[in-house]
Amino acid sequence: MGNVLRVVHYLNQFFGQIGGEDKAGTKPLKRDGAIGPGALFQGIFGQEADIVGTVICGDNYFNEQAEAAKKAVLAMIEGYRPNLLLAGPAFNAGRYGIACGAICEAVVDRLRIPAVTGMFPENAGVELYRKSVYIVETKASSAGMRDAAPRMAALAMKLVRGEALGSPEEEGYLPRGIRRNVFNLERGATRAVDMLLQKMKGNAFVTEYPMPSFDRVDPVSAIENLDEVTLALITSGGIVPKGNPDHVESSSASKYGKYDIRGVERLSPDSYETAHGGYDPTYANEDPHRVLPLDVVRDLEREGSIGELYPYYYATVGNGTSVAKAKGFAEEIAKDLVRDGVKAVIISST
Amino acid sequence: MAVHICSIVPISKTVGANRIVPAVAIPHPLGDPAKTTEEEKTLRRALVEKALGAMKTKVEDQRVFEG
Amino acid sequence: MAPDGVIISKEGFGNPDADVMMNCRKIEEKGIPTVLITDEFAGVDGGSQSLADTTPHANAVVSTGNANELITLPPMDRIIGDIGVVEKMAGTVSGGLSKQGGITAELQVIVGSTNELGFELLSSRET
Repeated sequence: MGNVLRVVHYLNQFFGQIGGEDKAGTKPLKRDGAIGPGALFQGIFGQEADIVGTVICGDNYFNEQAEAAKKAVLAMIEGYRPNLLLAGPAFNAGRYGIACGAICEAVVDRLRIPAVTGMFPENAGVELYRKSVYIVETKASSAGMRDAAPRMAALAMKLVRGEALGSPEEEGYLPRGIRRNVFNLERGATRAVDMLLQKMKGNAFVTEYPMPSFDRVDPVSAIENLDEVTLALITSGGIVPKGNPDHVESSSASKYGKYDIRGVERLSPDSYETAHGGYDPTYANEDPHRVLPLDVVRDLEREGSIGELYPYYYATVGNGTSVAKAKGFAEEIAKDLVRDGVKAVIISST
Repeated sequence: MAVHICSIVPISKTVGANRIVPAVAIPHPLGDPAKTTEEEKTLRRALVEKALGAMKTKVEDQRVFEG
Repeated sequence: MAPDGVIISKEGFGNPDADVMMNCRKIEEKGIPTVLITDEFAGVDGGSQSLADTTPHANAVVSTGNANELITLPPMDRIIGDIGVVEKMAGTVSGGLSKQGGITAELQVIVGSTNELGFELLSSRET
């Protein structure tokens, strides 16, 4: 085959074996050779490729200091003179997915080498990077590592060797929304008749061009005067009464809580906590206002800047929670708010 | 009318929020443990007031209310 | 006229896309299944939205190819007409005529290549 390929692997603080959420602020660092799941990839590559180095960066640091992080990570990757970059896989971890997508995109653009990452289709990184990055489809959790790694490695090798790729379904990556011409065995008119016959019979058929859907709403008109308005607070940061009485899950929440705050002026750390498992809870547990700003909204209410604060706040955990579920919560919450004349909502997210 | 105070603005844009206020940091969007409690409250109030300001602002498209 | 199914085609792009989508919606709302035949203008990189309009009703579409995709045509021994217009037509690119006489241009320069009656074998797929 020729020279052994040089591969660099990008990981977050957790897979890079630095630490958990408490280490999500870790600045970029590098380690020679394979770390953590890199060993699995190395085993798959065998003699064909060497993971010569691993670059690790904390998920919070990457997302909060994007420019500096990208610059530093890119420099470290470049130092290894790789032929290929592997990132993650990030599964359904949003911050990690964004980091993997951003690094892959930058590497392809600046270093002109192929890059492959892996994500669960709902990962926030997919929407942002699917067009410019090959994202192999993975399961939602790291239990899917053994399933994802061989497909990532296989696609990576094809890219490095410049081999022609099959369809996204064949190669196992998420369709990038890039259209490429291809000759069919049948002419378009024949295909149209066949497709219509299937559709008329109620049989399954595959459209050649799925309609794009735009999940956007028109901006609501500005509210001139807020001092008559009822405002509600919602958070995806998981602030719940201490003990989490509704058992809102720390990840993949299946529910939201609705909490009575009549007469509650302040959120005491003795009475409230965070249920969210996707960020370091220390700061929110010390002072829940850091995620749900009840104290200042009460002040603004007293001063007349808003009409009144809605007597309930809503909380869920936005950690790997499915879009479908979140949409369902919003529809229910909106019913309450509309019925009770709430005109304004502040949603706080971590 | 909803305003999204959030730490990761690109996600907010992707999911279609029309009025977005960037927050302080992921584990403390409306606070800062490096500051005193008083300073944090001032900072938090400024962010919420920015959100209220966003509600009073006409927007044609998605808009991030920076600085 | 009470058809059991309708195949909707068009000529051109842009405004005709809006017409096709409107017709699709109106026919589907009557409970009659439709299939659309259309080419695409997804940009040279294939990454742009292919049609100027959409409707969720258009769930059965035959694509006759992305007319913006670049092709390279080899130099010819004999030229009929004025080769100078090659860089001025719709779909041509500046610098698309090589010194040897080869042409790099968008597929749409070949009239009928993405014929929207489905005459050709060409299609387009997502990658």
